[in-house]
Order: sequence, then C-alpha cells, then structure tokens
Amino acid sequence: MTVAYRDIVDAEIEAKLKSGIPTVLVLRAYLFEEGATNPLALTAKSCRVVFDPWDEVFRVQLTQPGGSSNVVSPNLEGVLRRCAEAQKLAVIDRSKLKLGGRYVLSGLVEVNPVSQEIIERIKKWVSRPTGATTIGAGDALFGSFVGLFAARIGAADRELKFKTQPLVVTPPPPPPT
Amino acid sequence: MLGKVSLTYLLERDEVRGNLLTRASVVKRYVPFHEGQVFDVDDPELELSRYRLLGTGFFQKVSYSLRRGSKRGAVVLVVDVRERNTIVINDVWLGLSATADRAGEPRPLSAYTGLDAAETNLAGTGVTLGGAFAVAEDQLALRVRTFDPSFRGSPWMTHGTLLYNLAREFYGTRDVRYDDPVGGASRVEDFAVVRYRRLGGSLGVGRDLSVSTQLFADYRLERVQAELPRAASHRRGARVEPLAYHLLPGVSLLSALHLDLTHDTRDVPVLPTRGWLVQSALDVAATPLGSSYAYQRVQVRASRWWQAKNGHVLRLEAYGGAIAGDAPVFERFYVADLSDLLPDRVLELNTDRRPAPNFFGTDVAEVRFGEYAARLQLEHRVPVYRGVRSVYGVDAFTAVGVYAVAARRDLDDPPAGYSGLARVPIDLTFNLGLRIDTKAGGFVFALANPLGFVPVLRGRRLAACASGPRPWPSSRRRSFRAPRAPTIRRSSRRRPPSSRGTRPSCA
Repeated sequence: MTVAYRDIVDAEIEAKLKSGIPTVLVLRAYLFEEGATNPLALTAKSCRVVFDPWDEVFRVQLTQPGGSSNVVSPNLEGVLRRCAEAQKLAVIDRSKLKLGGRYVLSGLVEVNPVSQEIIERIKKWVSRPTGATTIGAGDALFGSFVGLFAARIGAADRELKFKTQPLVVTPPPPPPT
Repeated sequence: MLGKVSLTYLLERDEVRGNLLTRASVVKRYVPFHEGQVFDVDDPELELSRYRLLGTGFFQKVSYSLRRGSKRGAVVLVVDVRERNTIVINDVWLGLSATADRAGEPRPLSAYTGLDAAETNLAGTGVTLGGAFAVAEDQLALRVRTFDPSFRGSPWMTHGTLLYNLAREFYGTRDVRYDDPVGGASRVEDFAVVRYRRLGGSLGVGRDLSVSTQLFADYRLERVQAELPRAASHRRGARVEPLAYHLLPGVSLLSALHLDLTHDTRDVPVLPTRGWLVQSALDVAATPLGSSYAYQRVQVRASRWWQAKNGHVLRLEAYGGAIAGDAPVFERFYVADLSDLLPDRVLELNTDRRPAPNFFGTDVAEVRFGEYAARLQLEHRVPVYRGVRSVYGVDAFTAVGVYAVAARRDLDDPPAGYSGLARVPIDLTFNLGLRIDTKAGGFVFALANPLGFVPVLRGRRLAACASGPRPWPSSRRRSFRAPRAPTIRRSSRRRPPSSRGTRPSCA
C-alpha cells in the first residue's frame, strides 16, 4: 500500500509538531472482503515526533512492519515525508487473496491517539463530583445539568478516515521470459 | 528494538498565555511541573494536567509547548489557554403539583419553578459564586453559595451557603381538623398546612481522597421560625390522633455538623454506561452545639451501571436512610422524594400536598414524613441517538422500583385498621422518559410527574374511616393546645356551615 495523508497535518497539528511536546501519528489500514464486517488483515505505521528546541531538529521514531528506526529531520517537510506518507506498506500476503475476489482497504489516521488507560484516568477526573454535599433519593423532575464541563474526550486530537474502491485480484503477470 | 526518543530538560519556569480573566496562579495549580525540576517530555502527567485544566470548565482549549530557556538545556513550559464562558446553569426545575392556595384551600394543579446558576470562575480566581431560587404556591427559596476548589492553592476545597426558605408543609392525609382562630371554628381537610421560615447557612471544607473519592465536612446554622396551629388532629388508620409537626413553635435554632463521602467511578456523568456512584452522608445536630433539635441522620445511596452487548444500559440503585432523635420536618425523609409520581422537594420546598400513591394498599398512605427510608430501583436505558455536535446522546429510559418510608411510630404502633403485609409501608414507583446529553449539560424529561395526576394511578386508602371515631374529639382539644401559637389560617374564607365539624367523607 502506498498512500499519502498529509492533509492530517493542518495548522493546529503543525503547531503541535513544533511544540516540543511529543506528537504521535498513527496509520491503521484494514483489508476487508467487499461486504464483510471482519477485516482480513491489518497493517499499521506509527510515528512519534519530538521537536528539540535547543538543537532545532525533529527527532522521529518510526515503527512499521519490518521494525523501528530513529531518525532526525531538520525540517517539517522531512517529518511529513516520513510520517504522513506510507510507501509500499505490506498489508497481506497476496497468496491469501482469492483470485477474482473483491477487496476494500479502509484506513484510519490519528494524531495523538489516547491510550485506553489514560482515557479512563481522564474521565474519572473530569466526571468527579465538585462540591456535592447533599444526597437524596429522588431525581429532579426535569433533571439537572450534571457535569456541564465534562469535556467530550475523543480518542485522538485529529482523525482522518479513508476507504478505497473495491480492488479486484487478478492473476499475476507471467514472469518475463 | 530501538528505545524511545526521550528528551529531558531543566524546567526554568511555567508561563501562562491567553488568560484574559483567569489568574495565572489558578492555571498553575493544575500544572504539576515547577521551576528547577527535571522535565521529561514523556511524563504522562503532562497530558493528564491538560485534561484537568479542561475539566475546570474555565477553558475551551489548553495546549502545552516548550521554548528555549536562558541557558542550554533549560526550557520554559508555555501553557496556552483559550477561555470560555463560565456562567453555568446547574439546575432547572419546572413542574406541576397539587397544592393549596394562601387560604389553605386545596388546588388541583399549580406550577412550581426554579433555577440554579453559577459563575464558576469569579473574577478569574477559580472560585464559584452561585445562586438559586425556587417559587411555588405561597413559597419561596433562595440560595447563595461559594465554592473554592483549591483554597489558597492548597488541596483543600472550601464552600459556603446562605439559605432562606419561606416554606409550607402539609400534614396528615385525611380528616385533618385544626383550629382556625380567625374564624373561630375548626376546619376539616385532607391536610393541614404549616408555614415556617428558615434563615441560615453553612460553611465547609472538602478534600479529594483519591481521583474518584471526595470527603466534605460542613457546619450548618439556621434560625427556624414556625407558626403552628393551636391544635390539630388527623385520622391515622381507623383512629383519630394528634398531628406531630416536627417543628418547634416560634423561633428555634438548628445547629448541625454534616459529613459527606462520595465515590464516583462512572465513565461519564450524564449517560454513564458503567461504574459506581456511592454517596454517604451523616448529619449530627446536638444541644451542646446550640441546636434546638437533637438528631442524627445517616443516608447511603449506591448506584451501579452496566452495559449490555446490544448497547442497552442497566442501572441498579439502592438508597437507605435512618434518623435517630427529633429531626425537624425538612430533614425527615419525605414520601415525594422517594416516589417518582410526586414532585421532589425543590430547594427543600415541599410543593405537593398529595400522599403516596399506594399501589399496594399498605399503610404507606398514612405516612408523609419518616425516620426510616429505603428504595431499590432498576433503570433500563436504550440509546436512541448519538451525535457529536450539540446533542451527544439521547436515551429512552424506564425505571421501576419499590420504596418504604416509615416513622418510628409506624413500626412500633402501626395505624389501626391495617393488618398483615398491609402494615409494611411500601409502595411502587416508576418513571419513563428521556435522558439527554448535550453540549449544555444533561437533561431529563420524565413522564412520572404528570402520570401522577392520572386518577387511575392513585392508589387505595383505608376505607374504615366511616366507622371510626369522629375526628378531633373535644376531650382532646385542650391537650393539643400549644402555649403560644398564632395560627397560620389568615383567610376569612369559610367553608359552608354544613361542612364544619361534620364527619368527613372517606372519598
């Protein structure tokens, strides 16, 4: 799979990348047989970027099928090239696909996906009572505006989804003679 | 495998930007990184503290960044905030009740309303200043309160409340007779009305014991002024008995200590799908504290939520409470707070004169206020809508439960005329409606209150009164007389002579 998803990086995400605080971009791509709900295969690529304000470089940790690597990029363009594009990312062994079968590739790109554990801790804190000093057995008739500021905690700072047209598996071309 | 790219710096200082109203010191309370510390960009506290700042409700957006400090290896942690409106509505009350007019005549339907609003970031200090009012037929309640989530930057919370209630209580369930000095004659109703005023307040401190547990302790002082009838009786079961007001005539003081422990592990506050909410409270009022009322009250409420695979949510809630001593009427367990078919008290105003619906035909029909209360309720929620903009979710809910409320006397000396299981004062309660989670907060639209006015849903009462003794026997009248008690009956309106002093109907 080769895909570019640079539009995930808008002005806000660009500011995050330059903030000095780690920013994580994650691509997940699922392969489905057309009409099926369970994926046949999953591939992923993760990129963790930290800007070093003293050396003025981006330190990038790249994780994808085949292993991890640490690289240094002197500018944002280098970060985008490594982290907002996927070049020949392996999805599934071709031999596992049915000849003539129709398949769909569905992708999700997230910036700073929050781990489930962190989400739990955040939600507990955000939804905690503040100054509750009375209890009663009944609810008010028209209820109460409970937790007005319970922030809607999303799974990521930004998300991008894409889906391909159905792909038909054709016989591989004969080897050159 | 390669290690994580990790960067650590010496933190030179914190800097807050974008705070037009909120003091920087208020923001820094929630940032656990201080000057001179080693700052690891991977510290999970960084993200958690960002959400804590969002959770204050003061900010629409919070972001962190680093910039170079004055020497190599040092950084400044910059906290950028975008403030938001901090005036919030905490509660709205709007409902219908069956009450009585100023003259004490029954009214089949009247409206009550109320609002609780607050500025949660007063002058950028992080302190909440709130107020509330409730208006019902001939009743008024006012509240002013403050809440400081971090007193002088400490982990202690402080709060205070001022209270004023011009309130009425309804006593008795039928054949109530009480004197009416204005007209010089007794009257017969299904209830007696007593007016009283409360003026006072409370001060308290609180602390987070953990991320999900809070403890509060308050001291409360109130002046209570009650105008009691000179004498009153009602029919309790098949017998005529004097009414107990649970208020002292004239001026009295309520001086009490209050402890409140809350444990909250719900995933979200408005439409929770799992977790616990456990609240327990203890009130102690004693004569050495200067209180005219000496009592202890314990309450525990525990709710648990589960989500089924189909997305439906179940909630099981258990509530129980007990009072020892002589608690004033507004501190007692009230039947309408337990039954969804009657309006709850609003800011401690009792808006409805009706007794319990009594579906099971028990002696709960004879009870308005109790010293013991319990309720078990099961709620089933079905997701109807999920959104991401203004309305985040709508769930239809149905709830059903049983409750019991009893005074000590109802257990020691149950009302005459009831036998067997009918002497257990329990009743059915149910509710249905919508719970809505919106950007502005959570709403509940419930149908139980209007359903409570449907006559077929009103339960049974003891039909023995026609053969019972006449209410308010003249031989008892003198013994009921209070030493000084101006009457609350101020109206010159009179019932037709034929209805005065006659045996009332059981209808």
